[in-house]
Amino acid sequence: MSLAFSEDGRLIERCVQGDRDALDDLVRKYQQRAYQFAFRLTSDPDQAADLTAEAFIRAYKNLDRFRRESQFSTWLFRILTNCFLDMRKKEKLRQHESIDSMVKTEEGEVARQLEDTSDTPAEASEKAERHRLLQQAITDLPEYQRVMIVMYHVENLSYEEMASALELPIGTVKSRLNRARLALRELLEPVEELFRV
Amino acid sequence: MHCHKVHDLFSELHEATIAPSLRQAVEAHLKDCLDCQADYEGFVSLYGALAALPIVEAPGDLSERISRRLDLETWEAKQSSRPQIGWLRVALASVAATVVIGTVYVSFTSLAGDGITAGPGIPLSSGEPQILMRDGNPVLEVSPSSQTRVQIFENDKPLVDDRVSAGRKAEYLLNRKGDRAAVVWVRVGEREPIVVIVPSGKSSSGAGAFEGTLVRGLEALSEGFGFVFVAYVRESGEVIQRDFTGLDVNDSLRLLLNDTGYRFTSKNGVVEIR
Repeated sequence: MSLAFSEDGRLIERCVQGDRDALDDLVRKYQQRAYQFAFRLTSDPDQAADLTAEAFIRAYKNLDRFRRESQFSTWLFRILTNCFLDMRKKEKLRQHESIDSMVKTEEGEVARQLEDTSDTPAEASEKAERHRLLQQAITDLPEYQRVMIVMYHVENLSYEEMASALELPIGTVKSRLNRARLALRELLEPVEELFRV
Repeated sequence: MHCHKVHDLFSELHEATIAPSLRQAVEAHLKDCLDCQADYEGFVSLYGALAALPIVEAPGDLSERISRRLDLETWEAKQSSRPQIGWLRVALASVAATVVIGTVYVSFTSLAGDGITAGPGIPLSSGEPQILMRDGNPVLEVSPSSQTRVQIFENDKPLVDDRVSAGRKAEYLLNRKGDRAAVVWVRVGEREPIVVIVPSGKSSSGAGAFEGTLVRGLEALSEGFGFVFVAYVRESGEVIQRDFTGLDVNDSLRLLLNDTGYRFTSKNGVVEIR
């Protein structure tokens, strides 16, 4: 079904007409995915919430320009990516301006994650540690690699959807994603034992 | 096949999208190269670990936060389509010093969460509304921790109605350039904090203007405004700021006047300032 006749298509049409309820519906429908995407990019619950809100604002402002050739979610991920890159640019600028910039502690980067509760305490603890290390490594990747890893592995976007969101040829997406995985693996090499299956 | 070429094909090999001929070559390489073999095993483990990352639950108030931002956005869009009210109309101190000067009320209304708090009589901490002197002009600086509405009134006439997002900084010039003192009254409450600003003329031009501003302040109090935060700009340009949260009018005035050298008495509802 093309987007124009889908539920999203109708919602977007109503939003463009100024229907605020439709906008709220669109937010409710996509906020969880958007937040998760933002959190995996930032590792910071507050920044993730701000990014999510900022992305919805930008989407709202530009809805009339949304071409509807792609899914709304794909378009939203593109906006989120741009918001994230803008935020990082500002952060880098601030860090450049002040050597006293605040460094986030690991304790300050905790978000509520829905873990599998069927594990023993030891297993659960090891799993949590694995997830923490993995999240940290994702955060340590350069921004574009981070975006690619999160889009594919967290949001389960297809290569085609990623190509559309990032406006890149599929071949480029595949090769860059492979490099991002290799870079991630390299970051995790010192603790690789924890990830052995 | 070189190791780096094999690494380039890890994803395709794992996802089984690799061409059969390449697959054979890569597998042959992996059989002979222990380093690449270990790297590939690590790669596959990572792939599995990524798939097992748990869902991150969005905060319960996320919808609300987004809705507020959208409200603000639509509100600002409407505001920007209207003619702007110049803040320079607040520049009442340009009136001759002996003339009683109108009262300017500034109200902060927190749109989310708790208001700004501080203890009685203590200097304000960062993040709270502050009066700064810039090139001889008193500037109100607001950098709220939650979205905050800032309203400035001259008597009952609204001059500014603004909203400041959390983490942002907004500045409002309250006076024209010149050697003027300004008495600034601010009330910061839980939900409807009020700030009252009373610019005065040069203090050297006589006490009348200064007292007049206090009288206007008292009128404001009688209309239901409470004074909690008080800022006073000395002739020298030094800004004295105190939070009087929880104190009544008399105590607020007494404390304020302690800073200025004036004496204040209140008897049977009659206020006398000397």
